[in-house]
Amino acid sequence: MAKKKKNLADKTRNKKRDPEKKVNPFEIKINRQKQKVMGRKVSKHDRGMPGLSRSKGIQKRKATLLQEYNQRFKSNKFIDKRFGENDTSLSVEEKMMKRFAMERAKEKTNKFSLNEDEDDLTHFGQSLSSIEKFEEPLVSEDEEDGGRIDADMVAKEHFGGFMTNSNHEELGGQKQKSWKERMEEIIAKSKKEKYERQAEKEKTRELTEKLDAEWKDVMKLMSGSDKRGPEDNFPSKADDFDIAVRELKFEMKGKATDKLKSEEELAKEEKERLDKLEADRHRRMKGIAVEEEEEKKRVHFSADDLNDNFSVDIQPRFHAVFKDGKMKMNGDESEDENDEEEESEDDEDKEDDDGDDDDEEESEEEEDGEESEKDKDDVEGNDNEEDNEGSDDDSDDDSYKDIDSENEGDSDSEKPTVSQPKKSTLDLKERKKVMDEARKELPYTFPAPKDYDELLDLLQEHSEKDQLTIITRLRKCHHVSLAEGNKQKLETLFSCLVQYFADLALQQPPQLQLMDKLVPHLYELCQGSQVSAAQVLVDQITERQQEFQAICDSRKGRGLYPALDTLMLLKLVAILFPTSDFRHAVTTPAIIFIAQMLAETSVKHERDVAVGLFLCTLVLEYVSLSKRFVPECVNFLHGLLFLASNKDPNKYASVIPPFRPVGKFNDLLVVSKTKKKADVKMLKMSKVLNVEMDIDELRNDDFRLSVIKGCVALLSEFQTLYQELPSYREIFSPILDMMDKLPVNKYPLTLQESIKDLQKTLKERSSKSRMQVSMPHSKPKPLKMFEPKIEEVFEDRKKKKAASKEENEKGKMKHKYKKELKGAIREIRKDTQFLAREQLNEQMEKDAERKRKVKELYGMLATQEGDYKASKRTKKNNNPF
Amino acid sequence: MEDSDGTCVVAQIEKNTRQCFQSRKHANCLLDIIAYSETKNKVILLACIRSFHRLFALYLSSGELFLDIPNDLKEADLKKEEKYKLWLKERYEETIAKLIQLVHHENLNVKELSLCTLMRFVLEEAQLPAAKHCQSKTHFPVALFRRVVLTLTSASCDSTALIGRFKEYLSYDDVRYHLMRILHKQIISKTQDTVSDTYLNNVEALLEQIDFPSDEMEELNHFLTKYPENENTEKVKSKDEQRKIYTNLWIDFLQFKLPNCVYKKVLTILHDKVMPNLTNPLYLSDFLTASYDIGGAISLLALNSLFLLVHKHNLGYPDFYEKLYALFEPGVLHVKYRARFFYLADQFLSSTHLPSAMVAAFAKKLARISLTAPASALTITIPFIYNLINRHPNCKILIHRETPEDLQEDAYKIEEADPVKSKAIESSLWELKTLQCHFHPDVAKKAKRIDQPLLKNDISLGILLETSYSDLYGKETKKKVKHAPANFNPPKGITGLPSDKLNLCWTLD
Repeated sequence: MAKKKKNLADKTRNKKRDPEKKVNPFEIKINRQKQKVMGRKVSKHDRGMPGLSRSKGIQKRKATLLQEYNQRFKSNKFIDKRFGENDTSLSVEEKMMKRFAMERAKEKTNKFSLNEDEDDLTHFGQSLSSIEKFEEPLVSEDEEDGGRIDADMVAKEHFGGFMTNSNHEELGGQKQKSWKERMEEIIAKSKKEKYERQAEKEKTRELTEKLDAEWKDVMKLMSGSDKRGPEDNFPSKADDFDIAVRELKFEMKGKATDKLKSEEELAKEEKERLDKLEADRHRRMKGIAVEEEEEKKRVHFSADDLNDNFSVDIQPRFHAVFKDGKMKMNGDESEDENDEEEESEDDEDKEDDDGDDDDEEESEEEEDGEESEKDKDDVEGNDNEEDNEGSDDDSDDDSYKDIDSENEGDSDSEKPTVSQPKKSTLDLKERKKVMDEARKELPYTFPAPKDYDELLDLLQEHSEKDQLTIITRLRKCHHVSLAEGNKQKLETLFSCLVQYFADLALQQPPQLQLMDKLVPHLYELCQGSQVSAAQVLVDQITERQQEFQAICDSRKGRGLYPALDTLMLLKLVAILFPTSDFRHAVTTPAIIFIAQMLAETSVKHERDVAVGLFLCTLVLEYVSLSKRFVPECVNFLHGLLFLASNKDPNKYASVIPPFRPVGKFNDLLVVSKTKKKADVKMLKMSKVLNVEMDIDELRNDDFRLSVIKGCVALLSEFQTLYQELPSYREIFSPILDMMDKLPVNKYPLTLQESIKDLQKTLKERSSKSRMQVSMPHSKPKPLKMFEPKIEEVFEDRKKKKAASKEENEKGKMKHKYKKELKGAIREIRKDTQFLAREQLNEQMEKDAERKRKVKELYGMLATQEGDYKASKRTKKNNNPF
Repeated sequence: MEDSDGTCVVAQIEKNTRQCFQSRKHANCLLDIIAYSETKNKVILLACIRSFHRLFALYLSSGELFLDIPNDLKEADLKKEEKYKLWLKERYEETIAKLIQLVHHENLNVKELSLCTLMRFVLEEAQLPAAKHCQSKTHFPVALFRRVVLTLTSASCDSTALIGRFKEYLSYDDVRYHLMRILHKQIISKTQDTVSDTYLNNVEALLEQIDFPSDEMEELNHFLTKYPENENTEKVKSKDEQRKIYTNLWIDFLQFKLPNCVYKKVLTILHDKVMPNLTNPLYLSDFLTASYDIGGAISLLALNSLFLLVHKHNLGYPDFYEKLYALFEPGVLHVKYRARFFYLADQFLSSTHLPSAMVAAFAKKLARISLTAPASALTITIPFIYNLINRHPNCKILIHRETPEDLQEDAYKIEEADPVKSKAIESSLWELKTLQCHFHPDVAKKAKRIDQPLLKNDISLGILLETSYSDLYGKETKKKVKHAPANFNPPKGITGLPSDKLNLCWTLD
């Protein structure tokens, strides 16, 4: 391959340029550029040869248009069937060649040729048959110089000469070094040189530094000897004054610290923080891009900033550092740091024996622990931890290291200060011991689970309470600030816990209490790494959505309501992530999924009703802040009311799919008996939403009444949310209609009242007037100013607005069409001009001919006349008389 | 039967078959095989059918089944050779009866194999007849073929799966011809009371398979049998003749009262599979107008064919737009055929010569029903409305009034059947304003476009037509999560947030 390439390259390199056609300088017209602008593309039309192109055009017209023009009244045609005559792509020689070949081919099919199928074999252009006669010995031209080979050649090629060194190399696989190889060699050589140069430089630098250091030592000695000399000689006794001075000198100085904050201030700060977060949330709700804003915030203004947005990108520069003979680039820098850290940690390990370090670690732990609960770690645990850390560093990638290393550094710098509260730790130790005994059955540290199974192994066989303790400890042991890689561990822990959370919902009976307790943990973990938590939840929901879709596809577009785990996950999403964002990576898909379930699942029994109602509650929660409109949910609630209403057998009620006007499941919620006094209970999640529950258990009026009550409660919430919507009336009028059909008399009084209230508000709000729609007034176009337009970043060509692909295509086509049209018009104009010219020529020729003829005739007549007159005259003259 | 038993019997059948091949002496083995085929074990059955296939194909092609005996001859007078043939012929009939019975077997493999075997017999007989055909002048074994067709279109057994297999034979022009004739006769003889839904389903499946070669040739020449030249074959050969039968067949078939699923299937294939092959598509206009009047999904489906008739065949259709207007109801946004409907509706309403009042009515009604639409439908309805307004500048007042008034009532009357009289032009599109608050960000964005000046070009609907919830969902989750702000209120439990709404009607236990 390489060889072939080389050949190709050589060919192009060696190819002789075609001698440029000599152009008559008088034919070239140059469009002079008035100003030279740097960077402007040189246009195509800066020079041309108008004369030539015109004459070319005329030639072409003569060949085509003129021919047609001349043929215009002719009915006969003359077709030129000569081979290649009308093919302009062939040159004259090619034409001749082809014709010749055809001629030859024709000759071959000679009828009378006896040996027609015998191919004429040739050698060196002579047919073999003639050679066979051996009339002339065949001698190749090459050999004609008589076998004279120079001695060098002989030495190399003949009689074992090829064993010599140079040739041997060539035979040994690399006959000739290809271009590429040669170039590579050169590159390698130059690289090597560069590297050596740099290594040398590095070496000199190091040496210099060393020298500097040594010199400093020497300097110290020298100066010290100068200054200290006399002092040593006269050791003086310290008097009181000196002592006092020194005391004052070494006394601890009060450092300036932040002032202790009063409770009010703390509360204020907290409020400010929350306000800021709330403001953020509002901004996201309106769909203003977050990243942009943050980007803007991040910009650093220097004191010299002229506020003209001019900035020089200063990227942190790294000196190339040579270490162990390898050049290290800036990417490796962090690794270096890590190395150092590792070293320092090694040191720590060595110091461990002292015991001081332990205390210090402990107190650190203490601080973490105080945040939420009492600390349960003891010395042993810490030791383990240390071990963990050590192993982490060895095994983990360095993706988070540079982030964590900062923390690490902090803790290092804290060292001297932290060692102060020694006494209190002793106390704590004692306390801990007591606590240890209290719960000896649980270990204090746990390895972070790497997958779900490991987590299950950890948690299984423990009581609910212990499970929570284990999770707390897991989180503490692997706190982000403790070691690098802990962040990832916590992320895995989060994903496992989410899985566990979902699986708890599937157990029989569902362990909602435990799930309830898990939520704060999940929240905390989620705060730590939001993006990965988001990804985990999205994956979980996507899995369930696909399952749902598969069911839909197999059942003619109607799905089945999911199990409790999906519902709880959707709820978890609402807890962990803001539902009010205009677009959010987790909550938007989640609500789409909910809407899909509500719209595409038919209600066939009581559980469906319950799940649907639960989803509607979720929807309410999702949109309660942003007040977004979810038609699917309103439809579903309308459908529930329909299920509960009295149906008119003669009339189809207008309901919206997935509900159907007729069907056997349409009376699911019709209350059978009158219950005036009964108390309507809340629905129990673990019972009602469970997949394996007994449906008959729900087939009673209590359930129906609770559903109706829930439905009414949700509707009243929704109608408050939507009261500002201009189509309030249209949205809620079907619901109002349906509520009239409810058998209200059978319901308990409280429910009756709430229904009446709802009806009343709906009616009231429906009669509000509304403004006709009009576009918001657009700002008037400002007058054009004469100020220079300043572009922040100058680009030669203006960036076009990123239009859609289709529009781009359209624009291109338009442009092309315009160009073509112009060209065509120009051509047609030229054609007519040409024709007019031809006609004029024709006319002129005709006229000239006529003139000539007339002239001839006149001449003839004149001569005739002259002759006649002459003869007459002669007659007269001849007349003697 | 046991499996081991099965393999044993299969081996036996194989052996018998081989013996039959070898000589006439072992012809009695045939009886054994027929006896074996009484079983229910499908492995054995398959083996039997395979052996029938091989044996009789051989007999048919070698002419052993060819019998040329005058009818009045007595059995005693027959020669040994002829007696043998007569016996063989009886076995053949027996086998065919058995196979036809097996076409209705519950196992699909057995069914298919029996059908293939029968068709193979048809083919072999067509090459070399088993009996002299005196009455029919063609070589095509019409009698046998009729029996096959009759079994396929049985009134009790659904054979749609088999009919898919049958398609390969229908590329033969003569098979198609005879099939159509047989079916036609059969259909004419039946009345509404005597047909079952299954029968109609079967016939429809068969009809769906019939297709004509697309080339322009008038003469058909792809035959199963070799035809001697005679006048009867003229009909088979002429494409026009076949088309005539095809047309009659369809028109007679559509006289029946079709069950809903068959009806929908017919309507979905009518416009591109059937109409091009009819001699005159206008024959369908009665059927289609009747279907269009039914309402619901059936009207939607009929719309396509009807459009073809109006557009290509000059069918005059009064009140077309009134009926189209009636189709815009909440249900239409929830059905499967939504994409098709909107595609067609877009074509109907693309004319700029329609009265503005009517277009406004369409826009308003669509907006109104959008209030109950699923998010997947809204991605198409909103651009649709937008396009309507865009094409008809007079309708712009629906979204923009220079001096907006405060109105108590909506002037639009949704109950009015005639779009022109619905006063939509006096109304305003509050619905789109409402949808600006839709939960789906894209829908909300689309609805917000009415606040900006109108575009120059229409929004192309092509890609939007087939959006489903899954597409919407996929679009949201496709991107890798880069930025996901989390809540800042720490929860105490599942229902522990201030914004929690589960407390309205749920408890945790």
